[in-house]
Amino acid sequence: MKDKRIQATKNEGYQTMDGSTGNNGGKGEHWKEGDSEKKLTALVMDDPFCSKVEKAYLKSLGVDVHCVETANDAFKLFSDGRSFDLIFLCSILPGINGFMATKMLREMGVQSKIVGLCGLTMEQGRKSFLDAGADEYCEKPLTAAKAVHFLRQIDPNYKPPYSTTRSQA
Amino acid sequence: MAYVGQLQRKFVEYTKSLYREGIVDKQFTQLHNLQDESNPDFAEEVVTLFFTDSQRLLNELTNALEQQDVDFNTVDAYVHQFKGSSSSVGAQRVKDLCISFRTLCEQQNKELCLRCLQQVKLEYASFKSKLESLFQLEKQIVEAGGTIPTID
Repeated sequence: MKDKRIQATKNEGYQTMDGSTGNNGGKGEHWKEGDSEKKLTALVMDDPFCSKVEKAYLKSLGVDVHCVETANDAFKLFSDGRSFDLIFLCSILPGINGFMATKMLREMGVQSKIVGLCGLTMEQGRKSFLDAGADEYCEKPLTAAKAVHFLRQIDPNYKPPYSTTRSQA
Repeated sequence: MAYVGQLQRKFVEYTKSLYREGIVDKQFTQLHNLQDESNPDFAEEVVTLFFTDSQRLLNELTNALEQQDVDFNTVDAYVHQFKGSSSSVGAQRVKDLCISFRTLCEQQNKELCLRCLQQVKLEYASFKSKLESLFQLEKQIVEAGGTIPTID
């Protein structure tokens, strides 16, 4: 999908070889015509089905998304020096659950914004996530509208890419 | 190409009926509208994956509820997951049943849980067959050289 976002930044054709600007220490893509020089990055920790949907919404919003199925896979990424602006994690994960994973990520020193995801509204789930160190809580599905809300918390100037073909609620 | 026009009208009517009957909700619209030239089969891929995932969850639920001593925490976790995935795909009736199912889990009522599971299976089967018909219509439109109408 072509990104038709108006370029607010200067368009000088430089290349980001490793994408390491600000706190986006993850492997960035080469700068391409039409791309913003600084895409927001997100880590999604969820089952393969929900991840596919969540990734699609986030990608359509211009976010670089990485998905993992387990907390251990996520820990490995951070130990390897990756970082993300935003982390979405499901309360239910194989092995270490979402609440414990949140706690352990914070203990590892991860400072990204963490949004806990639950299949069902549970006041207990919300409390457990927040107590574990999550910043926000969201009931599935993660819609484009909810995602924009979280993206704006990270970057108040964030604007969704202009979509020529479809409307997004 | 009157035939294409006919198919497209049929598609729109069928889709509208799915909304009217509460089979799908606006989450499905949003998913469908994520399709584009680079990702023309996205909705179908997602829904197909949902079918596989659901089959697994329904099998697990059946198994868990048929135990002598039902572990309601396990049942609850599967219902929780099913609610998450059904709401992500826009399967409204299935999702709503999961919400009721959860309440029954909390009450630890095996009999009512089993009955609810039956209902979930029926609603899920209905959703599956209707979506399969919808995708069949989409294929026919594309094969006839037409484009799939947007869902509002």
